[in-house]
Amino acid sequence: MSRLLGLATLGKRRRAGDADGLGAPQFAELAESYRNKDLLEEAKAVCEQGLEAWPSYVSGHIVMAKVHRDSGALERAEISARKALELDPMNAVALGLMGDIALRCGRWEEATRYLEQALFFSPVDTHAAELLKLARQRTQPTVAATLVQPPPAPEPAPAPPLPAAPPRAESGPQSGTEKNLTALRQMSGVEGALLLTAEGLPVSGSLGKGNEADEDIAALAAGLVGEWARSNQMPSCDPQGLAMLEADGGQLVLATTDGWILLVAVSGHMRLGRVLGDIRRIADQIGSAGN
Amino acid sequence: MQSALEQLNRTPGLLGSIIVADDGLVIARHVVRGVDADAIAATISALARSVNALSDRCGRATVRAMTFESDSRRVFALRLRIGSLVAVAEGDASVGLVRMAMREAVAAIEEHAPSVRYDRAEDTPVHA
Repeated sequence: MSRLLGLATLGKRRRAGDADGLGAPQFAELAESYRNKDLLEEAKAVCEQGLEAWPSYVSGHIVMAKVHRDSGALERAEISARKALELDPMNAVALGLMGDIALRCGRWEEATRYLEQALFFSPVDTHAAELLKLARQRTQPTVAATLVQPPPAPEPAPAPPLPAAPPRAESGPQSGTEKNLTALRQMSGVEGALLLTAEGLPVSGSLGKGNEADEDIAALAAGLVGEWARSNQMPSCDPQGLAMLEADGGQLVLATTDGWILLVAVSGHMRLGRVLGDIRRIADQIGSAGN
Repeated sequence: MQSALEQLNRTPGLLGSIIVADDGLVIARHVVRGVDADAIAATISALARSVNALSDRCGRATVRAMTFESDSRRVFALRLRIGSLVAVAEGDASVGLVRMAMREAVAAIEEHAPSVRYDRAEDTPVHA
């Protein structure tokens, strides 16, 4: 049964007033399905109804917390996540949620503690690992002093334009970035890599067509990313996004990261899946260096 | 055309699919709530122009496939003779599965495309 079909079936049961027929796991599943489809009001209603009947059902509180978080109601999200933790203090998802919420509220150290606990109970949780990395970056004194913004708002909020690239000496990237770009250009199938600012100024690397062409290409790439950033219906490219463009003569990959844009030209015969992971990793390292 | 979109939307993680004319108008759609087909169509059309300008300056031909992704969402676009087929998916949807399903949908749509023209006045596709 497809997810949509499952959602429709559960939805019908709910509409038919069959609340008693929805077992605890079913109400949480239905609410999570609504949440995944951005139907937050419906998800919230299902959670409220379900938790009224099963107030000790941990997953119900977890989904409720996620719904509140996605709606931007972080205080309510925290109340629901805490309730889940009271019922199950070692629940890795609830711990991860507490970390996520603390991170969004700018409580970096608290976020670090919760996320470390979440990873202790669930070491394979890559999302928690990513958040922990972010929280640790924020708790570093030299970095924390420069950061005044909390992490990006949850999903339904419109995507803001890309932030301006962080200022740096002579607009030049650090030596680690140069090394990363060199390593990228030496990869099989990669024809060139150009790092540019969100304003369209080439900073490092080349697509091998000369400086003038690189400048034109950087301006066009930044314009494209700007258009992408302005659409709140498209996947957000702030702080990170990936665009893959496939043409007969070759392929282009645009990786956005914290105000930087990495443009990579890949030959037409190379399967993008083989290089995407490295491009994303290097873009992330460039973003970290920029911060 | 509509049945091709319905079939495509059975792919796990897919939130909807749209056939977009080159001028950004929707020819056919099959989307769930929360996906604004008209806004996506207009955006894809505008992005396609910028993408092709970039591709041209980089020495590439016209772009036939575009994918935009973040952690939370993926948008795919494939060239059609009559415009583009666009699919909106959750961030964790399988890229391979979606692309395979899109290629099948393109074949089905292209099979019927010659008999379809776009009626601007009515804002609907007209089957000849």
